[in-house]
Amino acid sequence: MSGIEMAGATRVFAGGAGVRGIDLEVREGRIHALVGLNGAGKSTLMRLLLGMLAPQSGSVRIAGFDPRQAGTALGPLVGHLIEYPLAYGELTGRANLELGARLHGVRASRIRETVDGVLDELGLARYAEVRARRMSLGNRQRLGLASALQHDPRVVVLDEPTNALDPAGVILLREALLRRAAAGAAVLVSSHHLDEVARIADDITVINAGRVIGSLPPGERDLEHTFFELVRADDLNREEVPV
Amino acid sequence: MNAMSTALRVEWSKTRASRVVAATTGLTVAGIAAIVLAFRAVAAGGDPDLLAKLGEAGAAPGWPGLTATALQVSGPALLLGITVLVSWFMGREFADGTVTGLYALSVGRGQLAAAKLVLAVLVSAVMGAVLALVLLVGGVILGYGLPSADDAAVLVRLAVLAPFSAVVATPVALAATIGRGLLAGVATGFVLVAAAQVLVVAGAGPWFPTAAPPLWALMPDAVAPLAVVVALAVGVLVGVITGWMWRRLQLDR
Repeated sequence: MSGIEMAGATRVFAGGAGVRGIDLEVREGRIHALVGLNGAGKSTLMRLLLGMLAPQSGSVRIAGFDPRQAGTALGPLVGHLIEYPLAYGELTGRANLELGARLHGVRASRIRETVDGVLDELGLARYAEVRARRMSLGNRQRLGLASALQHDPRVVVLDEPTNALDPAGVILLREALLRRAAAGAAVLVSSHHLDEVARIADDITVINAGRVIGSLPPGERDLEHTFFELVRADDLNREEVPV
Repeated sequence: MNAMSTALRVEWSKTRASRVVAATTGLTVAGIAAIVLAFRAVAAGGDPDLLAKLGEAGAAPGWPGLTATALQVSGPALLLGITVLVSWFMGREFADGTVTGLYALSVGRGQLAAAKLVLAVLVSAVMGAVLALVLLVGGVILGYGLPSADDAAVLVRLAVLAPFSAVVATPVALAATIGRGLLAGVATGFVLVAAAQVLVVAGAGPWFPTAAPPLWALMPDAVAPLAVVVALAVGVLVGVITGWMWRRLQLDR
């Protein structure tokens, strides 16, 4: 297994927020949605996965590596977007993507082809020569997603990827993720509601108050109702109120 | 292409396109040059109050007066401009939120931090060279003719002062990293400039790293070579610590 593995991963901040005892597995070739309300711990979980935080206990592996010990090995293997797109306002769309490609270890001879490909794939060709600071929020998000996906990583981690996207952008993203999963990538996406991307997932894990509280059956018609029932039941059962 | 050259290339692409870098560099040079050349133009009129303020060296006619005034103004002004640059180089990743994109890459964060510091020194070198050139042209326009060898040596030291100041400004990079943003770095820059002024007056100047560059530019023979080495070594050491912090950085705040 070289997708994502978390076993008992815990990281709690002063004040009690964070994640506790997270077990999660995302296999290659599958899209896994992580669904939870605001503050449930989705971003913390993803930060643990990418080495932005060290777990206080438990283990985390991504693409076969401990992310805090992997050094530069993860560059070609992982693509991610956590909270903010890697888009520098002073650079054009193309320059931002070239920068991202270099940082992910794409060979110099392949950078132009790689960038052209993802500009087309995510509908950004007309913004290639526009500085990122001039782009709308949605197009900057598209740019960040393009930077995360362009090198065809084996593991994709996207935090609330549909934020600010218009319906056309959501569809393009959904198709891009399906293509990468079909090619064997392990894809983890988070969502605070069951958006269009979460609905294409092969597996859906529900997180609440920093813990995994269950899963949802993909394809069910009334997923939202089941999700809220799960969260409500967990809130009622917990002795502590989530921070 | 190895990771460090990729880091330099990536950081250079941002630096080259940045208005912040261009504006800070341009305003620092223009500000210093405007003050120095305006002082010289007014001093030429023989205003006794201004001549008294400029002191004996600054009030001297021709190139000696211009270079003396330039040295007095450039020490703190260059350092202040450079600390803003260094703070931007390091702190903007936190302020813009792009730091989350700097994980799980083929280039280490420590290498990216090192590339930022190298570029800060290089941009400062350009800043110093342009300042010296502007003062040279300004002096010629003011009718001083070409500078003597001694005065030309001062202009060369002024040009070197800028990258020297950038090397000792690394505490600003460390502060921006610890403070996770621009303001901690900018505030540290003000503290460094003020502390250097106070310690120079107190007589301990050359041994305080950020005071060593302007004192060396002003009186190279009066500053012990060891003080220069210590200042550079402390700057490099703080830069190495900053790179290590970037390598181990956790986004826990």
